[in-house]
Parts: sequence; C-alpha cells; structure tokens
Amino acid sequence: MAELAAMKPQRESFWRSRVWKRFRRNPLALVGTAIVIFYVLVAIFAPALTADRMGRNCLRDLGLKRTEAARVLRNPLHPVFWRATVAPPKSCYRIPRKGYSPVPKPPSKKYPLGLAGGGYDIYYGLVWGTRTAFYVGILVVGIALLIGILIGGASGYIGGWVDNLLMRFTDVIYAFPGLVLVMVVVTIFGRSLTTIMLAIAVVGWPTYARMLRGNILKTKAQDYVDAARALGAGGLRIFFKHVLPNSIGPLIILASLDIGSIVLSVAALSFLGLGPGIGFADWGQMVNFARGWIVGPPGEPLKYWYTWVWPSLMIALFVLGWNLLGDAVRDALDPRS
Amino acid sequence: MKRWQIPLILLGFLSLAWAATLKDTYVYMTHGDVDTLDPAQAYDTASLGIIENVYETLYTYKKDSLTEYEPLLATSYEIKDGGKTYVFHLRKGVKFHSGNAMTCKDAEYSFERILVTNPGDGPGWFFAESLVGYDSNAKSALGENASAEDYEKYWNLIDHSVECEGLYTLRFNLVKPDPTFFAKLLYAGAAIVDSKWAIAHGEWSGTKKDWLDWAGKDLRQGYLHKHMSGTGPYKLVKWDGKNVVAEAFDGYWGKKPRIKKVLVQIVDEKATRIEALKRGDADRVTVGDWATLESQVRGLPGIKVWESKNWAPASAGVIFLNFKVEGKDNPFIGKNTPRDLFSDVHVRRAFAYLVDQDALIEDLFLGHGIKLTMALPPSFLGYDPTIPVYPYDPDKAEAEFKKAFGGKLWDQGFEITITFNQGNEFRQTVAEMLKANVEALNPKFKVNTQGLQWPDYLKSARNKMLPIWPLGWVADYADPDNFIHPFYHSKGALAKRQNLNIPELDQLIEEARKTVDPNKRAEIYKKIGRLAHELAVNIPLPSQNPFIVTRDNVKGVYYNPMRSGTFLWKDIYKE
Repeated sequence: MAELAAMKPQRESFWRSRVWKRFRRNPLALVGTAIVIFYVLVAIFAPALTADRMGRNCLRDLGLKRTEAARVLRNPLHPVFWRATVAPPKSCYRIPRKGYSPVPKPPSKKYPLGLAGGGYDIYYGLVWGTRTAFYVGILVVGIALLIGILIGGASGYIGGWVDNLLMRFTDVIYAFPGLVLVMVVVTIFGRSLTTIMLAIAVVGWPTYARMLRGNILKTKAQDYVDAARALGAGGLRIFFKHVLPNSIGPLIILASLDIGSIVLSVAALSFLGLGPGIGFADWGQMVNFARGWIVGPPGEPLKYWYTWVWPSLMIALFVLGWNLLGDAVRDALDPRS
Repeated sequence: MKRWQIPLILLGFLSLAWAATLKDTYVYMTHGDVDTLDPAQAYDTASLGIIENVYETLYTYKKDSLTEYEPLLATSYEIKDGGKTYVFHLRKGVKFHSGNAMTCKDAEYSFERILVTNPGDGPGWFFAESLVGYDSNAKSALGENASAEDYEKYWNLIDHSVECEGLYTLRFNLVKPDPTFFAKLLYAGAAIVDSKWAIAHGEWSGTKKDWLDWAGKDLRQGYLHKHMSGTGPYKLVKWDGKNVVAEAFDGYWGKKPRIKKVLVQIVDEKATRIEALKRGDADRVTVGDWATLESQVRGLPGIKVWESKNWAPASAGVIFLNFKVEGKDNPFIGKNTPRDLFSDVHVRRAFAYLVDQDALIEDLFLGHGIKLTMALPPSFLGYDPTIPVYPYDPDKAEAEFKKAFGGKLWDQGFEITITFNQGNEFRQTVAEMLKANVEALNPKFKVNTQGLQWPDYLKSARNKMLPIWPLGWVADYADPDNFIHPFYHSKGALAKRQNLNIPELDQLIEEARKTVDPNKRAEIYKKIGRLAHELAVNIPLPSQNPFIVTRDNVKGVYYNPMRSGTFLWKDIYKE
C-alpha cells in the first residue's frame, strides 16, 4: 500500500481569503476606499495640481521659474517633479496670497475655488492641506496607537502589579486637560506642526491603551489560548500570534475615526495661535479664514459661501472616507461583532 | 418635554430679549486691554479712553472742536509774566467720587505727583519740560551719583512750579515761556485726582518726606492703577484686568449724563464684535478697516456708520526700526542676527521699499486713506506733502540688501520677528506683507510674525526688545512738536525705544522749539521730514480716514481726534 504524502496545510492566500471576499462585496467599503484613494492621489500630485499657481518662495526654493513651473511639475521624467512630490521645501506649504484685502473674492477662472479673506487661494490651500491632513492624521494616530498598544498590551497580558501601575499611569494622563498640555508643550518646544502633533499624540494614547487592555483580558479567557498553551506555545508567541490579532480590531476602527477628527483638533489649535502660523496650508486654517464670512451682508446671506463650503466638504468627505473604510475593515475581519 | 420645563424655557427666551442692552446702558466692544488707570502713568489710547471719562482736566475741548475750549474744573484763567505764569480759578462745589470736596490742594497734589513720579514710559515728560526744566524724573535726570543738594534743588523746582493761593486759585510757574502749555493742560492725563483719598490709600504723601521714593516709580504697583476717584460724570465700578464697568456719578457737578452704565468689553476677535453689534449686545464696536466696513457692516439693519470727509485723525503711524535691539534671551531676534541690524541705512531703505503702501490703501482702506510722507498728521503745521514716499520696489530693495554691512548681510542672512498688537488687522497685514516680501528675496532672510497683547506689546517696545514693529501715536496736545520730538529726537518718547540718535535731527528739533514764528517753524519741520526720509529712520504708514460704527439708536456721536475714544460717554444717549 503506497504511503499518502503528508499534506502540508496551506495558508489561505489573502486575495482568496474570506476577509477579502467580505470586504470587496461590501459596497460601502468600496466607496470608502475610493474616497481615501482620491485623497491619496490629491496629496501625492499636489505639486502637479498647483503648478500654475505656486508661490514665489516655493518656486525659488525648487529652483524653477514661473514660466516653466507648469511644464516641469507635470513631467514625471524631470527630477524636480520628484523633488517637489517627495520632499517639497517648507515654503510650498505657504498658501500664496493675491492682495491683502480682508474681503473674500468669488471663484474665477484663475482661482477656481475663490479667494479667502486675506487673499488666500482656497484651491491651493485645500490641495496642499491634504498632505498636511495625512501627515498629521497618520502620524498622530500612529504614535498614539504605538504607545497605546505597548502600554495596553503589557498591562493586559502581564497583569498583576504591572497592570495596576500602568493603568494608574494611564489614568493620570487621561485626567490631564489635553489643551493645557498642548499649550505647555508648544511653549517649551516652540510653535510648529511637529510639536503640536507630538502633544496631541501624547495625550491621545490612553483611550487606545484602555481599550486594548479590555479586549486582551477578554481574549485571554478564550479557549484557544488555553489550547495553545497546552500545546506548549510560549508567552510571547501566544501574545503575538493569538491574543493581539484578535484584540486589535476595535482599535483599528477607533484609529480610523480619529484620523478625521485630528484634523479638526489641529484647526482649533491654529485658532488659538498654537498652530504652524497663519497662511500654512491646513484645512482647519481654511475654515478659520471663513470665520467672519459665514453669513454675508443682509439680503445676500450666502454671498461668501465658497469660503466655508469647500473646506467643510473636504474635511467631511475625508472623515467619511476613513469612517467607511474603518467600518468595512472591521466588518470584514469579524462580521459578528 | 415635561410640563414644568415650559415656563423655564419661556423665562429663558424672555431673558434673551432683555439681554439686548437697555436704554441707559452703553456697551463698547473693542480690542486692546487697558494698560493702567493711573493718569500719571497711562500713555495709550486704551487706558486714556477710560480716564478721559472718569477724571477731568482744568479746561477741555468743546465737543468736536480742536480750537474751541470750555472751562471744566477751572472757570477762568490768566497768563502773566510774558507766558511764564498761569493762574487758574477753580470751580467751587465739585465733589470727588469718594465724597471729598475738590479744592486747590487736590490740583496741586495731582500736578506735583506727575512731576515727582514721571515714570519713563508715562506722559510726565512734557509737563516736566515746561515746569521744572528737565524732561525726566529726579532719579533719571540727576543720575545715581547725585548729591542730596541736587535732589533738594529738584524738589524745590517741583514745589515752586505748582502753588495754591487759597482754596480755589491754582498757579503754575514755568521755567520759561511755553506757548503750548495751555494745550498741554487739555491732555486727559492732566487730571485732578482726589488727594485725600489717594494719600489715605498709600500713594505719595504730597510732601517732601517720601518724594524721592516715588521718583520714577512704576505706578502700576500703586493703588491708583486699578482704582479711580475723580470728578468726572462717571465713576469706576470695576476693572478686572480685561473689562471695565463704570456708572454715572450721582454727585457730579455738571449736567447729569443720560447713559447711566457703561461697559467696555475687550474682544480681540473682529467677527465676534460684529456679531455682537448685529444682535444688539454691543452699542459701538471697533471695526478696523474700510474693507470690512463695506463688506460686512454697511447696510446692516439697526447699524449706523458715522463718517465725514472733514474728519482728519490727529495721529500718525510708522513702522519702527530698532537701531540696537536689547534684552537678553530676546525671542524676537535670531541668536546669530546682529543686534544692530537696522543701524545700517541700506537695511532700513530695503525694508521701506518692501512696504506696498498702495496695496494697503486699496485693499484695506478701499481708497479711503492717504500716504504719509513723515510722522506728522497732514493737518498739522510743518507737514510737507512733497517729500517722497518709498515706493514698493523689490528690485531696489534687493540692491539695498546687497549693499548692507559691506555685502555680508546677503550671505549671512538674518532672523527677526515682526510683532503687532493682537486685534489690529492693519498692523497684522503690514507684518505679513513684510514677511512675504522679505523672505521672497533671499531664503536666508527669515521673518516671523507674532501678535502680542496690547500691554505686553507696549512693554516690549519700551524695553527696546522689538527689532521692528508698527505703532501709531495720537497727539497729546495739538502741536507738531508733540509728534516731531517723540518720533525723531534721541530723547523722544518713541524714538528712544528704537535707540535712535541722529545729532542733526536733534539739533533741528531743538531749534524749532525755540522758534516763535510759525512759518519759520514749518520750514524747519519740513527739513526734518526730508532728512528723516533720506535716512529712513522709520517707515511712515498710510493713514486711514476715520469712521465710527454704532447701533442706530445711539445719538450724539461726534469725532474729536484728540479724544482717545473719539467722543465722551456723557455726550451720547440712546433712543
């Protein structure tokens, strides 16, 4: 009798997995993904999209003359295209101004979305603001997630006095008034986008830590963890292979929701004078420019609609995209919860 | 919704209706915190806007006239000895807010107090010049190594300069004739303070005993900083550091004002102020510029815009350039930037070429403004409209920068912060404009902009810490010397904040002071303006035509450029 060759258990390929199938069958998932991809493309191609309206300083720092800017920045074969796309100089984040009038100007051929109060080009601000939104959103949430996972994970898995200590520490940070902490950090380390982001991240991780710890405690009690231990798996292996992946789901949802709201927090801080300076391309700043113009003169209440409609739409769509994506990922990973 | 909640909600709505200000209450919303309420220390429009309604002077301007005066705490006066002696007859039956009666003793105390304390950042200097012959207080004027005799002499000068003859006759003995002295007495800080009340609360005793302790003292530490007892139609109820509450004084000697309660609210946000005006929560607000006026305020129901082609401001604004920036750990200038950056005329001219005056007048004033050729209001004697104004020319600016410091500045670069007072959008725009234009020339030029609260702004400027800052000056008294001296003389109140010291300018200014013939004086002032332009000691900013915005039920509004608040609360009423 021939011996049957032992069949090696095959890992299901991701693209054939149930997770992917569930994801791609969910129409909202596709909408969310499409929206996020749209923003990703806008962010990546920001220099190409705004090549014809760049500010003086940005062009000077890229070494371009105004006449050749449009041609060069839309040509992927030119090295300056890559410089502008991958590592643009800081001055490119300054929204160019046309005049100094505090009164907004409606959309025109040259300025398709109009000029905000102070002469700021709304289109430029929104396009480069997408880069800022991703930078801020992903970095802040990334750092907060990292700290939260480390502390929450250690706390939940190790338990005992470590758990107690870490959770009390988390409580202290949680109780801290976030705004005050941000102001203190900015005062010490100076006004810049980086310091604000670090400050928000440092105050934002407790939520993740607590949530992860709760989920870990729940997962630890599951049967398959006992089974793994019975089979001889070590502590770390159990943690990284069995416990963590099953506990992290809700965190992903929370993180995806936070990416959108971080943009608004940075806007609020800009308003308080803690932001990266007036004129920096940031959606929140664009909303601030519209502050005094939301209601127009009597008889024409929507006269300056373009100052707040465009930035609000950008922010709302961004948040919506991430929400849908986050929901869809959660549904795909675990349709029962 | 539970039944018992309904009356609560109704009450809520009713209270909202009452929230719109009542007929006898006047709410003024503006930006710029009060610096101090002590008339011997206050030297800014935010503070004097309160002082001019609570304290009173001997004589004052009649409504909106700059040339007609009416007696206030004095009923008549005479000038004797060829202008060296002024005798004022004081009004009888005047009471202070504390209840004390006003006599010559209070007047003598008030003026001597100004001369004794005369803090370096206060208004005392132009009184001291006429009355004791020095422009600063005893400690600054005589120095640290002065002998007891020197101080004795100074005290005698003060004591002798202001004297009482009986209860109601006040006598000023000047050191030399000063044709501007009467005008100086119209300044809101030349007010009569309740001496008994002040002394009882720990202020200077009024005698030789402790005068030296008070010489040059910062009066913001004293009782009069936050408390007021004057003779004016309004008395101070409270100043909490931000807002000022005042109410009509029952024992006022003159006509009782129709407005009984006044609230001055400090709100830096323009949009908030305009909203409050629309809702009726404020009766008058500061709008700022014509562009905002025409686009957001004009035509709103219930709002009135007061304006007139005849209104001319008695003020001038410039961008100050500090010849030598001081202050250890100064956050407004880069560590490697030379502190004497602006001592080089090429740097100053370069900055002057980067201010786009036309854009400011067009975009912010909507054309309702004029360029100033020198730091003097065009309506004053000695103004020369033919002096050129530096045009906006980035190429010329670049050429000047390249010549600066022998060509080294262009390679080394610099980093400075342009500050402005928070809420003043005009100055903020000037700062942002300079930032954009300077940085566009050379990536090594770094210019930051920062808004400061008004009292902090003044303090930093007075401490000579600001490298470059826009500021305006309202006349203390209606004479060109009150602009020329502060702006261009090395000891001038403003010029000393920028360490300005140009002997030729000093000489011309002193010569003008001795000249009596107005035409000859005018010629000298024109010369000063031209020299100042060549050396670009500061950058004059365009002057905006004034306007006032109130609710349409506010009546009696007028424009007096010498009043910090443009009109007095006692003259208006609401229908």
